[in-house]
Amino acid sequence: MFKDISFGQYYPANSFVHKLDARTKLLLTIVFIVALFFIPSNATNRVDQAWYGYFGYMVTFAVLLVVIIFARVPIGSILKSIKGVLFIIVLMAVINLFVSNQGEVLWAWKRLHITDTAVHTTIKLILRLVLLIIGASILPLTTTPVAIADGLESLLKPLGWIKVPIHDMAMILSIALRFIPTLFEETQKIVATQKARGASFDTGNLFKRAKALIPILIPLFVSSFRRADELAFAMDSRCYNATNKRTKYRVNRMGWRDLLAFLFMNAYLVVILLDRYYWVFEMDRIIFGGWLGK
Amino acid sequence: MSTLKISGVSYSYSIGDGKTIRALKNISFEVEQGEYLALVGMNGSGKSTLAKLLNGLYIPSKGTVLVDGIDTANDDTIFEVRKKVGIVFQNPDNQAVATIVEDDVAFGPENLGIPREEIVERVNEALEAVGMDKHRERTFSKLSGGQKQRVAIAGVLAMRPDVIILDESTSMLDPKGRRKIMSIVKKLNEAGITIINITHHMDEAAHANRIIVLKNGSIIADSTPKEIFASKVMDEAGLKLPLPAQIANQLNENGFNFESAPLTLNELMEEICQQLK
Ligand SMILES: Nc1ncnc2c1ncn2[C@@H]1O[C@H](COP(=O)(O)OP(=O)(O)O)[C@@H](O)[C@H]1O
Ligand SMILES: [Mg+2]
Repeated sequence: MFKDISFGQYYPANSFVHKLDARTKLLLTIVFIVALFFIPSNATNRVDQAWYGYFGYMVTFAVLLVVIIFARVPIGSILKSIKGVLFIIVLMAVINLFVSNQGEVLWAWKRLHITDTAVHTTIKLILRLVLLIIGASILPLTTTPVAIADGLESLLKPLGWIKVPIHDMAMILSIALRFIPTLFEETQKIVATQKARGASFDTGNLFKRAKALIPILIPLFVSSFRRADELAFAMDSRCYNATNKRTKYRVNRMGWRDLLAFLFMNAYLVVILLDRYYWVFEMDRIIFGGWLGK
Repeated sequence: MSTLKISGVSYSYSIGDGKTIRALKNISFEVEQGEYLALVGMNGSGKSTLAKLLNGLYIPSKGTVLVDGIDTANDDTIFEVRKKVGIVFQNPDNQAVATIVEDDVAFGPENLGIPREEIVERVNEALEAVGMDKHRERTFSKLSGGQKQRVAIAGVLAMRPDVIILDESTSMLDPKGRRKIMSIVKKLNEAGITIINITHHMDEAAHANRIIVLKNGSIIADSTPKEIFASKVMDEAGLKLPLPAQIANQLNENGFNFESAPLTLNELMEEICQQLK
């Protein structure tokens, strides 16, 4: 049931991307997501043609390819993160395919119909989601959760000035990431035990199903509290809070790699913005206009 | 160099309504640097409570615990105590704070504010000592139970402690993982670290130089394994003897004459051969 969840599926390697500062990767992930959302997947009021947007997705694909090559992570581990949300993507794509009324009708049956515009927006929607997930999976694949937590702590440091307990929050995040797989494993065991006793989790109406979850949640809560208790003893034993001048095993230092990465990803963002607001999809028309009509 | 000095220690848990559970009653003993001590007793006899008293996780209700002369009840020096006395707990899953092995081992030294270069040194050293240096970049939750406990030991070792307490640390492991932990512990003891092994496995206790037997919060015996296993103390404490000692006792009833309990099957066999001559 939870096999495909790839939280903190860090893939150890010694690549260019692995060596980037976690803060760089956090910020550039945001840059990437922002850029991706400037590529339209629906008709805009400025251009309403089949081919708009494809140039952006092509550039994005090329950028991700470069990133993956420099990250030296296996394609399999990236595809795994897509597999986890495949159902949602398919569902959204199918809904999207039937809702549009614009364009030429390609196929119709009773009240269902598919138009050429719908086909294109669906393809673009899938591209957007898949590229988003691939792009977002680079960070956890190439950065240890501790480094991510440290990076967040460092980026959010300004909040510390207004007395937000940033360090404790980073510690909580790091521990949460550490315990997610443990708790998933435990949930599976409890589910198996309750099933063996004849419990059923996939029959009955919504209310019945929700009620069936209680015998899972209660043991899970009880054991989580026990775990928290033991963890607290273990942390105290290892001198947690001994000093407020805590040092760090992992060093965060920006270097030439980070500079290159910033330049590369921001160039990508600029290209996407130029295509949309300055060239107004001229690139899309030149490359894709020929065979996608008009 | 740390000696542990426990004098007249009692500990009570308060369980609400002014009621208390007296977990330990007037306990006294001393442990010298480099000893290998086993602490045995039935469930609820107070072993874990005692472990937590030894590094100041609990403060005695009565009496004192001195670690290298430092009173664990003194708040200002509590971290000095915890640096010297580390505990490896029972559940391999509940002790690690970080996802990646080496990050977890670094947790203690980071807390102490040790400069980074030295943390690196300590992490390397600790991982090597438990044979986990090849797994340093792996995800903690994907390790086996035995490997997780080895990481927990490394986490304690990185604090460079004088004393390591194992509170039933092998009880959730398979026999192979258990043997590996015991051999690591033996090596650490040979390197001069005091070991206090709390255990239900009497064959583990037989490895120690000294056994303390707890019953209902009191020490009922404190001696060498040979003497303890030959006496009636184990019976009294509700504990089973290790197999070689059990066999020797049976043989004693049938005309043999074992003066002290054999600790290993080899020893037992040799003694039988001797007596058959
Ligand atoms: N947190 C607690 N609150 C109340 N009573 C406790 C607590 N922990 C242990 N006890 C009680 O103290 C006694 C000793 O427990 P413990 O030290 O855990 O024994 P052992 O480790 O030998 O099994 C038991 O009677 C137990 O029920
Ligand atoms: Mg116990």
